[in-house]
Amino acid sequence: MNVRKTTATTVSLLVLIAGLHFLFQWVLHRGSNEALVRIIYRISSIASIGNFNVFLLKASFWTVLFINILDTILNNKVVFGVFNAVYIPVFMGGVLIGGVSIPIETHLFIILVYIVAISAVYWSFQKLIKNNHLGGQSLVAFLKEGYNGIKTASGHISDRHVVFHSSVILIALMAILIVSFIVYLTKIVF
Amino acid sequence: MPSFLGVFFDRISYYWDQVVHYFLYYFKILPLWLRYLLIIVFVFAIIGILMSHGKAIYENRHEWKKKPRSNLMFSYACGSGQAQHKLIYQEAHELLRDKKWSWLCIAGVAWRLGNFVHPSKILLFFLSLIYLPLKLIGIIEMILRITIGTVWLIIAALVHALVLLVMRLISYLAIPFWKLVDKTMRIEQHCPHCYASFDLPAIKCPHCNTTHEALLPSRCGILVARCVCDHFLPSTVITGRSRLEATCPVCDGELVVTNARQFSVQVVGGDTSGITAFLAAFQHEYIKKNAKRTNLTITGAPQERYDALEDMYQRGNTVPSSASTVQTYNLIHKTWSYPKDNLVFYDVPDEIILSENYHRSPIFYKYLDGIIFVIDPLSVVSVREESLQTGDNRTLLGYSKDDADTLIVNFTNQFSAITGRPSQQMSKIPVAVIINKIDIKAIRRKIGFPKIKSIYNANPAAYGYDYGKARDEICRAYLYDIGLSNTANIIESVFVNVSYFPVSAIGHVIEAGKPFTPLGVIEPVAWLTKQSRSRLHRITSNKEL
Repeated sequence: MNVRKTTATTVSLLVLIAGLHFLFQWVLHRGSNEALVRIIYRISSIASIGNFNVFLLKASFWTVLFINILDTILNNKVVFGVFNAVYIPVFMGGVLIGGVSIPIETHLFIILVYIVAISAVYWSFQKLIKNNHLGGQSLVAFLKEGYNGIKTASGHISDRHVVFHSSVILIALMAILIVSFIVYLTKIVF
Repeated sequence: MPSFLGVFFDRISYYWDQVVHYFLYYFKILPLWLRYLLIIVFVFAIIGILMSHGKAIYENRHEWKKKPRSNLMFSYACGSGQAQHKLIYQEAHELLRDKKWSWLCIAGVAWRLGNFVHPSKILLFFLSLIYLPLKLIGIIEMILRITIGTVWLIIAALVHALVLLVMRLISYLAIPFWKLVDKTMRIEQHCPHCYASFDLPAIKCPHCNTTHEALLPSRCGILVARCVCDHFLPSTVITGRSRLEATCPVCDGELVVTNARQFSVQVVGGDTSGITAFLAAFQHEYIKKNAKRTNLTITGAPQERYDALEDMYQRGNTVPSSASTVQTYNLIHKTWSYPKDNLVFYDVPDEIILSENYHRSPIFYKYLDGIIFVIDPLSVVSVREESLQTGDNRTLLGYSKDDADTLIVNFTNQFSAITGRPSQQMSKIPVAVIINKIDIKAIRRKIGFPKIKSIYNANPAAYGYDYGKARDEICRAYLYDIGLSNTANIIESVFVNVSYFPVSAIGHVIEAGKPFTPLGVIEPVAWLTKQSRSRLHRITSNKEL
């Protein structure tokens, strides 16, 4: 495998990212002001949960996006195959936009955000180890075998390290999100 | 200039100004980073063009066109340059379009990066993020490079062709002039093997041993010419052609020297008359005498023959020379390492003179500068008897058994037949008759140097105050005394310029381990060079050069 052949994946990803960017810009310009104001208001309500939790949720989104891109690269996805990199973040966004559209309490919206974030992180983890782990997609199997269970398509040590550390980051992120979610629930209930 | 041409150039100038104006206008609209990027790309394109041109020139610098039926290449101005011109611009256009050979090329770097192989897909992905912009910039660079480069190479090819044309014309004018200069500086030479005469020997390349039969100012080069082995050889006397090894253009035999003025001496004598001893003594004394001259070196060739002569000189004994072949001995005189003169001795065995084979190699009579007859007085019975009476028993050790009269008659007959000499016409070739073995008491007391000196001093007026005349007359009279008057008469009936010399080549009774102590070996040769007005006379007579 050489750089020139890898370019197909890179170009596909760049086209996809540029396409989504222009689509987002188009939606912002074509959408009604009322809907935009409502979305911004709803999203800004997340700030009530504290800076750390806001950072945590933002970090979850970008980490999920980045690790899905890595997975796409590791599996040589080209043309439409690169949607593999964005379908989870897009799903996250879709659910959140749906949540914004439904007139519910702010607490319930934040709970929805947490659930979506935890699901997306777990989903990403499962997708990553499904493609790159000998022991299957279970969290238990990964924790049991650790780095030795990683098996990428190229088999190169750097790729295996990327998969392993990405998996560890996702597990850690998921754990932090769960703890943060429990703390938030405890605050609401008590 | 015709008016339509003026209009044409005005129109071209106008369109050029328009192009520049629009280019600058749109260039200034571009973002600053893009302008800088385009400037960098342009610089790389120019570097690529110049490197393509330079590399094509460098790669083809050894591509010389071979002259048909010759081992030389055409000179740069007269053939090879034109051949190189074609190859250079073909290759330059190929290199211009080829991004792969240079590292100073963005497209080339992108091509190398694109071919980088690594198992890690993550690493390849990040490298592809560098590769993509490089590839894009490289495409722009190659478009600029090919467009500007093609124009540049067309202009350069035209200028180059024009320069070659001018050089060719200059060469065609210079070749006859240098040929003439070289012709005037060439000296007639004679082959020691086939005796052919020529002024331009075949020159051997010192690098590949290829023989060049016409190494002259020509379309292959005026002052130097290129051999097929890619080395330059001097093609004129001025540039040092004479310092190269050469062969005879007729028989391909090795020549010991090139373009040296030759002074040829034929040495004739009976068996054991002392020819070899004379040559051994002469070479030793002559080289020793001139050893102190700073700008002159004298070397013998072939070296092994001179080594043998020197060995005889030092051992005090002689080895008979070949009875079947004419031996050639060369003394090469080099001034400041350039061979200037060659003193050649042809040792003609008496067996050849007395046989029917002599006519096979007569050609060197045409260029003979002198003849030395070596006479052994001991070949005369009365001299041997007188010698025994004086208590000198040398006569028992060896003397020439050939009859001097018979030998001289044969020689003069052959000489007359070969040269076509009419009976009334005498030859002007100077002849030195040397009476050898004057160290023997019976001979010494008649023609020894002290004896001649004393006779001369007693009445110098009788000899016109000329010691040479005294020596000549006394020696001639001695030949008459011992019964060799016929020999002297025969020689003088054929040759107009004859002189007689007393010589002792060995200087003493043959004794193993005792070196020669020769007497009077240089004077006959000095006299010959003087008679022939050779410039060698200044050396043989020990005068300042």
